[in-house]
Amino acid sequence: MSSLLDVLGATIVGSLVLLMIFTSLFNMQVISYNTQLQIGLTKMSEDLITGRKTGTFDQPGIESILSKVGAGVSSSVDPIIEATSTGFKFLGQNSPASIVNTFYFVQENETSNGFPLYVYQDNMSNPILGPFWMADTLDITYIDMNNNVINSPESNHGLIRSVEVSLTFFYDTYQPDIDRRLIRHHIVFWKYFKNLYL
Amino acid sequence: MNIQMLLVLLALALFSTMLINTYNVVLDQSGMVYDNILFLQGQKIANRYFQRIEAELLGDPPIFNFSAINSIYSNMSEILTVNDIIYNVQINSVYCDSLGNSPSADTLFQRVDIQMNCLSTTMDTLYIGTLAFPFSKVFFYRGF
Repeated sequence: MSSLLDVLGATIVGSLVLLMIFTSLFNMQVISYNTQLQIGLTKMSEDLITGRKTGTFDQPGIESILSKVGAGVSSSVDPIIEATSTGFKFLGQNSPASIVNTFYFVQENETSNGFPLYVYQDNMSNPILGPFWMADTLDITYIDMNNNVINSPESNHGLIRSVEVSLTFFYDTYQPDIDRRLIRHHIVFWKYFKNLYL
Repeated sequence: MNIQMLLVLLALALFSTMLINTYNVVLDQSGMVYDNILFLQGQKIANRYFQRIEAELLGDPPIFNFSAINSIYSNMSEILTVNDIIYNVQINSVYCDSLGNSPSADTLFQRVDIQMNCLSTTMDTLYIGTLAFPFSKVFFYRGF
C-alpha cells in the first residue's frame, strides 16, 4: 500500500514538474517569436525610411524622397501642393537632369488590414512604394524656420521648412495567451527641406 | 530510498536552474531588441539636429552664421519626448581641424557632438552616444 502511495505521489510531483517545464518552454518560444517579428518589423521600417539596395537597384527611402522637396522648382512656383497630417504632395527633381516630378506621400483610408501608406510619383493611381500597413494614422507635423509647429499648414505653404513624420507599423500575433499584443514599431523622423532654405 | 530521493531533488534543482537561466537569456535578448529600437530613435534625433544645423547654415544670408552655430550649440541641453520616452540630449560644438580633431586654433571647421540618454526597457539608463564616442559631424565655414 505504501509503495502505491509512493508511486502516486511521484507521478503527481513528476507531472507538476513536467507541466512547469513545458509551460516555460512554450512561453519562451512565444517571447522569442515575438522578438523575431519585432526585429523583422524594425528592419522593414528602416528599409522604408532610409532605403535599401536590391542587387544593383537602389530603392530610395522616404527620407530620400522627402529631400527632393523644391529641388529644381522655380522660385515663382509653390513647391508644396498639399500639406495635411496624412498627406504631403510636393514638386521636386529626382536628379539635376530630370524633369520636375510630383510626389505624393499619403496614408489612405483604413481597411481591415490597418492604415495603408503609399508613395506616388507623377502617376497618382500607381504607387512607387506601398502599401505599408500602419496601426495608427500617419502623423505629419509641419515646422517653420524658427522650429515652431505650423497649426494650419495647408493655408501656410510658404512657412514650411521641415516635417516631423510619425509612423507606427505593426504585425498581428496569433498567440492566444502569454505576450499577446500587436507587434508595433513606432518611429519618428525629421526631414529639413534644404532647398526651401536656399 | 534516501539516495533516490536525493537524486530526484538534485535533478529538480538542475532542471529548474537550467530553465530559469534559459528564460533569463531569452528575456535579456528581448530587452536588447527593444533597447535597440530606442537607440535607433536616438540616432534619428541626433540626425534631426545635424539636419537643422546644416539647414540653418544654408541660404544667403543664412539663418545663423558659422560663429553663431558655435555659440548656440557649444553647450546645449534639451529634453525631447518621443513616443512617450524622455530623451535628455546634450549637444556640444567645438572648433576643430578638417579631420575633426580639437582643440584647434582654426575657425574654418567646427565639430558638433551629440549624446543622449533615456530610460531603457529594463529601467536602466540607456546611453545613446557617450562623451568619448558621441554622434559627430564636422561643418565647414562657407564665408558666412
